[in-house]
Amino acid sequence: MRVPQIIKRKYDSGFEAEFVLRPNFNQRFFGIIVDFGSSDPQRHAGTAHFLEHKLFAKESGDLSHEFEKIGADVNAFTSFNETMFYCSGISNNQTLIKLLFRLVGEPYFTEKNVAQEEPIIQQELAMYQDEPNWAVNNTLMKQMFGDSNLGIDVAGTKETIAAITAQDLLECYQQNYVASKMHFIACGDFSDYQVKTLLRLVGKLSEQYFKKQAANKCKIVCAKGQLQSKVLVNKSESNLFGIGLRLPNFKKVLSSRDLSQIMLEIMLESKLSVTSPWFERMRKHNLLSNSLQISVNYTREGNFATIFGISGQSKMVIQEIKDELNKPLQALDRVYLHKFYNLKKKEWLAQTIRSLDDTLLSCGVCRGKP
Amino acid sequence: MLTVNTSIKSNEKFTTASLGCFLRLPLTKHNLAYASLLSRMQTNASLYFPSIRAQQEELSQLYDLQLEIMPQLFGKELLLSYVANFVEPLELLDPDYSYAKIVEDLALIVQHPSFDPALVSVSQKQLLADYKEIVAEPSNYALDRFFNIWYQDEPDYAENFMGPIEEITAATSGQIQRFSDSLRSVPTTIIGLARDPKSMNRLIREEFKQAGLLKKFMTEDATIITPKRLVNKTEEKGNLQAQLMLGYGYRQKIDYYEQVIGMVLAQYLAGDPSSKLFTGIREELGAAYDVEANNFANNSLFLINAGVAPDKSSQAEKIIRNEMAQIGEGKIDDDLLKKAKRALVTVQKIGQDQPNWQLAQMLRENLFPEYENFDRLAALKKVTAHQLQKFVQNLFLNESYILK
Repeated sequence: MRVPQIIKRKYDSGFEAEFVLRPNFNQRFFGIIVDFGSSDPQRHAGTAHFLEHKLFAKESGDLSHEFEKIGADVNAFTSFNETMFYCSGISNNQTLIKLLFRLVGEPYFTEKNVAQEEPIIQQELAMYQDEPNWAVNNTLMKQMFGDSNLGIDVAGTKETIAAITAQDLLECYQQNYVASKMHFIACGDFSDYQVKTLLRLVGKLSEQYFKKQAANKCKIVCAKGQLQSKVLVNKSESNLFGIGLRLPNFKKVLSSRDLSQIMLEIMLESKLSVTSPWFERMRKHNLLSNSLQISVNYTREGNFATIFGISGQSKMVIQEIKDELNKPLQALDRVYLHKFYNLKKKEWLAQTIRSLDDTLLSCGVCRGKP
Repeated sequence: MLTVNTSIKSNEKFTTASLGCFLRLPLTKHNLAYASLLSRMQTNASLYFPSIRAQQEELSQLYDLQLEIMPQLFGKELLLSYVANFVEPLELLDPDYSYAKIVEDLALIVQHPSFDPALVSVSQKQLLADYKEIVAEPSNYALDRFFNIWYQDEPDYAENFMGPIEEITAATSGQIQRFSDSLRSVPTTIIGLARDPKSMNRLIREEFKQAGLLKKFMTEDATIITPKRLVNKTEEKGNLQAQLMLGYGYRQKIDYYEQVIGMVLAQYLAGDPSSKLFTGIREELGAAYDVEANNFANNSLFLINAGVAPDKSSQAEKIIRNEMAQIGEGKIDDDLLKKAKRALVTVQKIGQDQPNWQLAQMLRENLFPEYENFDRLAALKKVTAHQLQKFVQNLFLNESYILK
């Protein structure tokens, strides 16, 4: 099995860099991940996402245009605990890296450009809010985590978006966009010489743009919502339902949060996936026909799992899921579980190998709100 | 000597191999509905793996072999496609995991569907549930309505997602079996990328025996001519965002080179943050988060769409119409055109890093005459402002649809 070659470097400032080598690939991918996202402490919910949008604005105009001039693509996303800025092209490595650092490292927030951005973000939120799955997911998060930043959409609410000022953005930026909270990642076909040269450039640029300062340690509050069931009025024919499970601290389960996440997902799937005896029963009783979507997430502000499905009899299905999850393991289940776990191991191995074909997947892109 | 439609290229880059089996039949509402139902049934189970669990476990045993079965539309043609992506056995060195085992299982699933009424029923329920969720999203609903209006007089071409849901849910096991039987003789091709193309090709010829593999797969003309509609329609649904869709039809049919010009136009208008409509509608008017432009060459349709603030939909529409008129008059920003071309060259080259993209290119080479000999990259670099102007002059606004 091919093993990916990864070269890592940590600079004195605390800034980290990583090169993932992909021989024979045309794409050159570069990203900066900031260890700060929508559910972290910020005055108005949605500030991290607003900041991500507004960093593209420079005194000279929209910096995206400079990437376009060399045929490169640039984008960004915000997730619960991270913001990532990334670009990709097929050449001009040094120019791309310089532009990416300028994008993240040179804030230019004015009352005028913040006011211009507000309706655009309101439209982004409206786009999500028109989709039935947004309403279900938003309600689940609120029920699990209340009005905390984790309970509110990554983009914020109509009101919080409107309340964000240029000063808020600057304060938030200065507190969180510091060297020790940043990580650079590159992926593509780079020679040894290129890796050396580019790592030197990354070190120089990180010093130029980001302060060497200890990360601001805000007290993390794990908020709790009302944990109640809700029925949403639906103007479409959607039969979507969702269940949220507020999970305890993963450190009590395993030392690795990633491994805890994988194990918990496998455990939930062993009980509820299409290959489970439980699902077979649901199908026979005409309660479910399509598979459930199960995911486990961890954040600094709380861990949770969500289960989404489609059913015309969602109340009954939700009760069945609760019963199944509460049911202790029986001796008879062990044969099935052993087989299931072995298949899952094969799937995870395959997934690891597959990720070598996918530049973006290797770098953790596609897990937040653009 | 008989020509068998199989073509496996050497996979020198990826850790996974890809195989695609494509059956070509005319696009009709009925064919699309039945192809959707059969696809779902075969995704769930088959004669040799008779339950969802059995088939799923078999694919998991093959290191999570990903098998996507679905209909694809290419103008007047419908392709029932079976696309498999799997880890190259050489990456794992597991004696039970080989090309032979993979091709044998794929052949069993593809060539031996099950028509168990319980399987038909569960697949129908799944599609009905999916359909309701798809059309619950305003952007999908608007697209569906747009095409229904565009092809009002040619309903066989009007369906987008899975064909008429009424026909899917009314189908019986016997009807779907007869449909499946009829597919044995339709033109078929099998293409792929594998590290050992020679043995993969040999195994495919041993396992796949459909008569359709001997028929000519290439189609001479898949293009649907623009039906003249000249319609403006607005529907009210009380959504937070309005879905604005402007469909431009072609006056004259276009060739491959003009298809590339259409791609450049789409990029020039809405492909990048500095593109014309992106700046006009998003940055200046503040009316939208995103704007899209797409050239559907097989449908003779150039479509521009955006989710916009309902109170600004008229202004957004005006900006689009105005920009198209400007291009038609030759008022084209040369710098933006250069950027658009450069961006598309990058997209083409990055596409070569993706197995799916390579398989899609192979499919087009097999489906469309002379496609293989057409150098898209060179064509892209050659596109001029004058050609963009001519392309727009060949368009006329055929349908304006707004869902509020």
